[in-house]
Amino acid sequence: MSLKASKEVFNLVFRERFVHRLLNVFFLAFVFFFFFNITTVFFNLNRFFEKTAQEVVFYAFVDRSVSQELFQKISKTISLWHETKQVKIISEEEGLKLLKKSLGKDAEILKSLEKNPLPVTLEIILNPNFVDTQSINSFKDKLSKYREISWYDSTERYIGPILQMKGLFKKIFLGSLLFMLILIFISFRFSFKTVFLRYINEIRLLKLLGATPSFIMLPLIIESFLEALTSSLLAAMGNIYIYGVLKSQLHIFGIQLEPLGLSYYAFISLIFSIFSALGVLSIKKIREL
Amino acid sequence: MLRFDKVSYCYQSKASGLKDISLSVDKGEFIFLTASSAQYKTTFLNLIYGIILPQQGTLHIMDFNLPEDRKKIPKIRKKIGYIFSPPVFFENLTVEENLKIALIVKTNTVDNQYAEDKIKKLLLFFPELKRDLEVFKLSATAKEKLNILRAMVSSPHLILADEPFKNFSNEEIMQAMDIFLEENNRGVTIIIASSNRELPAKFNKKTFEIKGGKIISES
Repeated sequence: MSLKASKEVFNLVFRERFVHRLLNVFFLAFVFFFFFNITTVFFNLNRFFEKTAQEVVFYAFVDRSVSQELFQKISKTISLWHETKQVKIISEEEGLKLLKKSLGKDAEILKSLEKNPLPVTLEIILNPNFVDTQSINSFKDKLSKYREISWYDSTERYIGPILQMKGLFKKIFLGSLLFMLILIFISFRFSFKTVFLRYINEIRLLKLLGATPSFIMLPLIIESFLEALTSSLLAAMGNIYIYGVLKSQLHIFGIQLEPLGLSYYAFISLIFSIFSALGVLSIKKIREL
Repeated sequence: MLRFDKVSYCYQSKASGLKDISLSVDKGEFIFLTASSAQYKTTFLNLIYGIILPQQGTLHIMDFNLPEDRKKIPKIRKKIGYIFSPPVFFENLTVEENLKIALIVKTNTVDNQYAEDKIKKLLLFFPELKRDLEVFKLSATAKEKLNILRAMVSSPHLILADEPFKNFSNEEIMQAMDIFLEENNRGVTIIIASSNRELPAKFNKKTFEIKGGKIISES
């Protein structure tokens, strides 16, 4: 079968389809644009959760009576543990600054204090490979053995909810992807059915003249594929533009927005396009005419 | 070219149709199929064109056998020019576009120069047909003329004509018959189904008469 012949006939018989096609491109571009924007939000939230979940920080408060020498020794020992990624010493002054910053307007109450009540603190960032419950408990045991460490706290308690949220977000993302694919499938099936019903006599006549179902359907499948591809590329361009605007705006607030990546756009566009072609292919009635 | 081997086709609603038809048509023959209306002339032609399939028996068309080769019907149709009754066209397209589509579908190739020359040549048979005129603007007679030209556009091996002269004047019938005879002289097999019984006698051509779903005479 010659595709050129099929395309030539298709362009003659269905020449009025372009307005319909164009409207469909805009409609799909809008839907895809919405999807890409949602994906950008999910992607960035996911990255944030991933980063947070991998970064368990322990704050070990060292007794004020401990000598500088012993303090350095403790700090060095902890830094050599295999669970430790990095140890940072937070001086009393630094600690107070951080406390004031976190209290905000309520920091006024600190003025009533005669001297800095904060001890020297060790900020211990765990190696991302040792953030599981067992490793964290083992790390806690090791810390507890130091009598010089009066108290410690960690960000570990946030990990559970974060992982839960991450799982939930993953489900929402996969759900919306599935919904999009179903929507595209139905949209193209419906759209083709409309075209099909409108041109049923023309299709019947083409078959009477000797056209095979593939002769009639191939240009439709290719066009639907290209239609979805154009729509998703338009949507991707819109999304990249929105990303650029948001990135510059959110940067002021210290929020780093990450782009989706060209391979992601390419992959999703391809999936959308394939599903649109499958939507057309699923119409079996043409074979029965 | 064509052989009906005890072919039957009955309509469920009418409980009647073609029964036990056996006949053969050689390559290059010119056949008239005569009968009064509602005597299954169209059914006969539709069987050859693969629009309906034999319920009993086998129909041998060129290198194909029906109903076994039902999947090859598009291939069979490409070798046959069918003059439908009533004529069906892409009404919003022009005369030229209708002929071009038929040519492309039947030959499965796009050769604009060849198509242009072929259409130009065909339109010489009926100069009154304007190539740029949309089909819906044509009269019933003009549509029948276009119907004939479309069947010939791909230079088929066999032409099936179902009541091709319905709205024609005597002069136009002679004009159309000249075209069919010219095609036949080039080796094309022609089968014309018509209720006009004078034509076969006038042109002295082989005739099959159908009555009650059976071939009752061959002359």
